[in-house]
Amino acid sequence: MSKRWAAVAVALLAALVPGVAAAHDGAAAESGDVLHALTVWSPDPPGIVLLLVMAGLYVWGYRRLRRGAPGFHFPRWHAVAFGAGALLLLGSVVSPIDTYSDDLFWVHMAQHMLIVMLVAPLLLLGAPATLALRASSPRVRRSYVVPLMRSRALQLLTYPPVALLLFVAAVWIWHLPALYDAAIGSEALHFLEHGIFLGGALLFWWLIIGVDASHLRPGYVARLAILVVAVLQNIGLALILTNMGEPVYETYAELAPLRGWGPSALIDQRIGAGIMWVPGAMMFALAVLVNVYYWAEHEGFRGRRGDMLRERTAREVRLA
Amino acid sequence: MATVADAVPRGYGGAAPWAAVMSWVTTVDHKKIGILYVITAGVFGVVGAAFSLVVRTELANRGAVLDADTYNQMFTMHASIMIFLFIIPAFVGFMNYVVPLQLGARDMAFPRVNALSYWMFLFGGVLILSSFAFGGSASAGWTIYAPLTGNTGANRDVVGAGMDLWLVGVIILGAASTAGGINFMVTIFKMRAPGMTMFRMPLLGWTTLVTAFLTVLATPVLAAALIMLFVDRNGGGGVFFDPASGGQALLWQNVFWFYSHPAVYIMILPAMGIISEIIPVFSRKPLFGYRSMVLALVAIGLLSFVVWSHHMFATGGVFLPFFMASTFLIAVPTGVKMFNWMATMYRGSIQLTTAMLFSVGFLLLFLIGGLTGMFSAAVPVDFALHDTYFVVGHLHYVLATGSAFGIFAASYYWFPKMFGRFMNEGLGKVHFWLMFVGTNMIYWPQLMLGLDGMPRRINDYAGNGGWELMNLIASVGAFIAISGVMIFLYNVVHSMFWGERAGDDPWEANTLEWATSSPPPPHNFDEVPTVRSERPLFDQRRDALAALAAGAGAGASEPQPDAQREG
Amino acid sequence: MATRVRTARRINPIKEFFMGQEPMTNGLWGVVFFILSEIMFFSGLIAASLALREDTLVWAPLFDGVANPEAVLEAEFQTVFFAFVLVGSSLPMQYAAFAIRKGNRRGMQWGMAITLVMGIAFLISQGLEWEAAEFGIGNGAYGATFFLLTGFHGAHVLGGLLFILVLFLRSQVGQFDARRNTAVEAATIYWHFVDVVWILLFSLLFLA
Repeated sequence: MSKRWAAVAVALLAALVPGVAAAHDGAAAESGDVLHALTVWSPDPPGIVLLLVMAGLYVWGYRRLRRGAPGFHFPRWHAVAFGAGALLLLGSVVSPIDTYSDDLFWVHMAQHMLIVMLVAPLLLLGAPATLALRASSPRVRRSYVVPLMRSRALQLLTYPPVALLLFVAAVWIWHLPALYDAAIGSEALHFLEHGIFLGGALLFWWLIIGVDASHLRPGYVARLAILVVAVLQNIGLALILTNMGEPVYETYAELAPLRGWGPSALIDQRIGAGIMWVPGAMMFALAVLVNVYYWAEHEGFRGRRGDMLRERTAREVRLA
Repeated sequence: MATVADAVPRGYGGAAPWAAVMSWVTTVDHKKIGILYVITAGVFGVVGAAFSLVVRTELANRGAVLDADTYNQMFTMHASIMIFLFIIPAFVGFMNYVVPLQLGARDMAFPRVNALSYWMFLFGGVLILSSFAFGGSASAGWTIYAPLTGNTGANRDVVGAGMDLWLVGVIILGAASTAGGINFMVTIFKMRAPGMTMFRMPLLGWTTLVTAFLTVLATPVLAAALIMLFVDRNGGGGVFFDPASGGQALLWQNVFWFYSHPAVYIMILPAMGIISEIIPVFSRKPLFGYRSMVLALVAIGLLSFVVWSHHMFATGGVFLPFFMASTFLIAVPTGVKMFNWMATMYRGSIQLTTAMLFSVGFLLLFLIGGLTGMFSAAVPVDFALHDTYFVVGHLHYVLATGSAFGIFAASYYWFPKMFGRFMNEGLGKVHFWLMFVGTNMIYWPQLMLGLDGMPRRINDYAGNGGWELMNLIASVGAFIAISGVMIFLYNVVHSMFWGERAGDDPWEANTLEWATSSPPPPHNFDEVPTVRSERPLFDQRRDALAALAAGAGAGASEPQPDAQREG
Repeated sequence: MATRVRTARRINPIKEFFMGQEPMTNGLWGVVFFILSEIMFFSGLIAASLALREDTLVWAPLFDGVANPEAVLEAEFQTVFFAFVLVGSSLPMQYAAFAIRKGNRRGMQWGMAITLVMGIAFLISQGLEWEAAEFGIGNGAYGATFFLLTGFHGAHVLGGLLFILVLFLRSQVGQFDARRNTAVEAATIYWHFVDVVWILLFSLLFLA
């Protein structure tokens, strides 16, 4: 199983090698040709390394758990979800999506949406916290994993109002024209931007996705409220971008006439806003529906338990 | 020989007439407030319907009856009244009456806020209508598109004090429904009887909850929009919405439709909840797919906040493909609901009471409304049909044969609970068939006229291409439908005093409101019922039947309680 | 007496709402949803003002059709100081809520009194600012949005102050203790909301 995984990873990396040669120098506009588009990859060494470390740790822990933890079942779909999330992350930061995100605002927006709306929840569906707790050796668990999870910092970050605020702030602040342009201009800032997006999104989805246990996770009603806030702020930002009468991000505005293909800067911006608006809202809507479904399960359980308790009380009253 | 005094329904009379009046004015009882809401909305509805007759008369005579300005006032006020003063408050009334009972609660969470909502609603409604006394009402359509309404530039003084009264009135109505929405949300979250989990709540409770959420989230934005328009008109000089002064007309459309698209669902979801109550009872089957119904509801509620831009396709200011796609998406949860209702009826022992007739009528005609909506959501089609009678036909199929049919169904269904008496079923069926034939005669020709290109909001048109005939058919249909409404009004008044007495649970229904007396005592339940499933009364009947079978043996020949088929 | 206070159920609305603990009272639920609607109201106004600022013909105040960018208000000492006063008044209000959770009514009254003074000071400063402004609501997009936003915010501050004043008077006749503190919690949440809105509006009107 895991050998096959490793093979997949190696194959993917091998596929990237020719891409290194075509490394993207930032200023030159790519062409609008689809076939050409498929060939321009932009490998991002620090990102790939980080990702490989993350995925390697997960695979290592997963193998350890599957092999040596009797009495504890760690479902395979966790690993599938995590793998899908990691691959998508890899795909969104090294594939032509990343290359073209320097030319087209809407591709950049799609990249961000992938990271925020798909990668983060998929990674969390992989139950990384459970895996870390279960797979680490007692010594590592006692001296690193548990203290980390119990740390004040992490408690504060995952405190629901804080996490929600951080997520919203991350999205809005990075869309301020000055910061956005700066991020496109500098690789390091761009890396930081994506990192903060991923981090904020992980914090946000941590509140919503209950695969890993947390005593700080909100109840179902509050989760729905959080999701509604998320939908509304998402639409709000998208609405502002849609209704701007002129391009707000200078990089794209200057590039659009130079590149000679693709939509004008204004249309580009509107498509990007549309991507944020509709598919973005759809992901939140999907999360709402899943949450309502599990809420129903939970309420059904609570209802049956309540029935039993009430019947027992009634019996005791009759006997007394 | 019963006298009127004898016939005053139990629980709603006082000794002295003055005391009786005061008991209604000062009430904080959700049942009385609910009835006040429904009756007030009904009165406003009659006014709105009268305006629609004026409109139809004008169109049947090709503009020979009224001058254009009066015509504009008529259709504007018809729409405003029907939306803000009839459909929404009538639903609020029924929800007010029924939902706390269905939850097994004693009252709403905030009874006094509830009363405040009602009186604000009445005040706002009267304010809007009072504009006829101040030189004419608002006349720019219910969407009051700025800068047409802006009192600036070329539009200065075109629309007078009536517009300002309209704005203030709707702001007050909005505040009332926001307060009401908060009240419903807290009631549903906090006031349920023991054992009634969220997912054992009747579907009307769920529709109320989603509707309340839409109200609380969307209405304040409308208030902000109306306030800005008010400033534009009074001293602001059109800086918000008049392009001539640097404002943005599109900004108005965005803030307006941010409210008004969810408002479409505020107007239709309660009707869906009502027929979700009625169809299982008269099919003698449990509701098919309860959980998928809830999911579909939530999905519709969420999507309604995403898609408002499809009202603005023709402005060129929106990015088309996404909004077309997301609008199409709404068909999915709606389709789920349609399927569930039909599956509920499938192989049921259907009783065609008037309430059930209206529910089935809702299914049939709302389907037309929904499908024409899909038509209009397709961008190329919308470019052709925007602002034509096709849109008028579409929205009336949704609102008049959807929402209004829901209101009629609810009236027939819950009347026995409200007044302890049945409404006359014979008259009810006449009412239904007149409405069914009449409404189709109005709206189907409107769809045809729209396809033929007749623009909406005009009082005169060139005599060509059979438009006169279509308009004449529509106008005749309007009078047929109204005659049905007249019969309904007579039926209500007559049945209130002389109708056949109904027991506590005349329909052998499933939900808690039928577990108390008809009409219920002020405190609703002598003993708060315990709930073990979505259908507590069905459980009671089944238990009683089982006890009967166990105790009296198989030889008992007395009429047995109806045992509904198990899902 | 002391034991009763210690065993009393204390209301912590944020924890109860987010952690899904049951005993949040009807009143607090109501306030949460009320604030939700208020957020939407201010979002509408703020969104419109942002849209206008981006796209309107002339943003600066107009005097007889002539723009005067000089009249646009800047963040001066008075404005900044009283913004800090208002936002800072969240602290004594929260102190009041904490105090009554522990049954300390005197502490709550002090907290409320300080909040009241700070809130009134803010309102007076706001009134002076209006008085000093060269433009009115009719002087272009800037004037209209400025007075709409500050006006509605001021009205909310006034409403919050009245709310707190009523609670203060009620506490004078011996109401509220560690168990009966819903209204105080509600007022506290509302007051925080009013302050947060001012942070947004202040950045929008005076900094951006």
